[in-house]
Amino acid sequence: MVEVGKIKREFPKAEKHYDFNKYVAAFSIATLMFILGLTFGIYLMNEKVSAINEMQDSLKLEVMSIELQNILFQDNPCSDSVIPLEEKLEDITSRITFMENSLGKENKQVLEIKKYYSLIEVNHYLLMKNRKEKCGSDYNLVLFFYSNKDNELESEKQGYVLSNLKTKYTSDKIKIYSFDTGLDLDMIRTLIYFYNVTTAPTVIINEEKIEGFQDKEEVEKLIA
Amino acid sequence: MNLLSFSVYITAYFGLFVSAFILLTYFGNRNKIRDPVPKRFPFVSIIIPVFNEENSIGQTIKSLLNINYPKNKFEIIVVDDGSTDKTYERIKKFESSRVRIFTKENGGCANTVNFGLRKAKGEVIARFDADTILDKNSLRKMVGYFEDKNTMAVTSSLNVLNHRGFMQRIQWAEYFMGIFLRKMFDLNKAIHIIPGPLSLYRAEYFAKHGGFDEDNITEDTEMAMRMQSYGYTIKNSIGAMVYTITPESFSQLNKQRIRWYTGFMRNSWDYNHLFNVRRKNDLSMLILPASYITILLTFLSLFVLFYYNLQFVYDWFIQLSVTGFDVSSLIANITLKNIMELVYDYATSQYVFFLVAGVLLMASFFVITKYYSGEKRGVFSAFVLFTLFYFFFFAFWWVLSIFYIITGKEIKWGKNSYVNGRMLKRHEHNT
Repeated sequence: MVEVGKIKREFPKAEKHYDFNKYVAAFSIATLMFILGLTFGIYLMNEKVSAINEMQDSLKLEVMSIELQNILFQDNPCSDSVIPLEEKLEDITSRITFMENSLGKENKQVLEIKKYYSLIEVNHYLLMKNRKEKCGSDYNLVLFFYSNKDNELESEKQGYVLSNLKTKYTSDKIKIYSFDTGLDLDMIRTLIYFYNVTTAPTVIINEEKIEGFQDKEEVEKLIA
Repeated sequence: MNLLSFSVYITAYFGLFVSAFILLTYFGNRNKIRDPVPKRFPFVSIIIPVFNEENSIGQTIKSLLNINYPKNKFEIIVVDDGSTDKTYERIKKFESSRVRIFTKENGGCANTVNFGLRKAKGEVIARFDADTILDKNSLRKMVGYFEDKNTMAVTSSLNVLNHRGFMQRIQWAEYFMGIFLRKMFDLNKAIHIIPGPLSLYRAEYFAKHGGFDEDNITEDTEMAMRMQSYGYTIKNSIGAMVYTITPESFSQLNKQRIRWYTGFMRNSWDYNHLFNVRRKNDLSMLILPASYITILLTFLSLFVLFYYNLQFVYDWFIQLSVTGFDVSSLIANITLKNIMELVYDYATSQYVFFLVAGVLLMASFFVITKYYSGEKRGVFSAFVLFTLFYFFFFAFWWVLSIFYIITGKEIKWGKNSYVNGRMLKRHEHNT
């Protein structure tokens, strides 16, 4: 007895009407396609992993290359010949950001790549610092120490401020080198010790240490 | 496995299974898709319920008088549901031996059709909506199905007249899918909605089991579910094309969808015995449960989509706030390279196979429909918009409808109020 609104109805017993074989076939096709999709997905994931490994290998080469360039330029810092392009650094930075977003900030491969990249950054910084002292160039050198664990939001905000200024003033006027204080790298620990960095975010602008989040106006004042 | 993987896999598997079932139905029954040529022409009473359609009703009656069906084998019964405009004057001019005109106090659509039923003398009853356009051969294509004694109703193929515009294209694509799905449901004896615009019924059914449920906000769903409960057959004519006008404004569209979905929920509840898997037929085991599973998966997918992209939006907001809302530099950072990287990342995501499979399956349904319906207008842009955006609107309308059901909010339609799909009270006539 089924009651619909005010009317009660009596319905006959239901007639069996289905094709069992069709259900089996549908189930089989769906399972097959599903497995196909999973397999294809795993294949793509592996491709991505090997792509990241390739990137890692090329970064290793870059580290060694820039170390040698540093040595060469020690004696002739003001030479007009080719300096390691900032564009390349830009490119790697954006790729790392992208990987952090899609794979996560804790991903092992991402962290490894960040380590190599940090070494390249330090080398570039030393090169530029040497150049500035010996050739009288007028660009600002900024070391940015951030954390993805403590005070994450403050570090994030500081990062955005610095990126914005980098776009505004271009690399002719401001060169920014970012270091993740949580990264397990001796070089970074050395820098932290050198500059006596105790908290994140911390910016070192032209060798002057400023702790805590600095908004856009404040940073602009410090880069004349 | 995280939430994202789980939702993608469960949606993908469900979609693959249902699509496989539908395509197996199609390939196994290709010879049964075309409409049968009628061996005889039963007398048809075409009932047109009208309410305030003074501009279109004349055209409607004229086009019905000219359909390709033996002139002595059908009558037109126009019932004016207490219109407040010049509708009655317009229709009165058509009164003849073939066109019977009635007027009554306003009582709603179902009530009006039931009134017409009592006046009808045909073996077959056709219900036709006033603002609809039909193909000349529609009736001829549908009557052949009544040769089978168990067939109590025949549905037509619902197409859209006003297909230009963003929302109109998306609705058109939806109706287009509906044309295909309804035929597939027919082949599985699983039609559970008999759309109003043009539908045929065997007159003796009403004598035996009563007319339309006048308190129901979607009486066409109730009728279909009632017929299914009795074990009768409901067929679909894929060649009988009718063109309806979809709501032009977004708020009207929302109201329509809330009516449809609250009505569907109401009737599903009343007829919940149809959802019993032990009934062992395609309607109860697959089609009806699938309709609700689709809604649940839509909600799940939407939730996951927001959850995983909220971080992205949040980051953008932080970035804007500390740079003094320097939108220009934010946009400058979106280089072509970044976009290519994003597209590449999505295109090589581990789920891309399922996304592509889903789109291809839907496209195949569209191609099949275009072939059998003889639709001449280009559906490609509608298909693209449908694939990209329909999902969001669908979720939105269901959220609204569920909200109305939970809160018992009143839905006003015409002169009546409905709560939870049932009529609350009839508004008094303003005389």
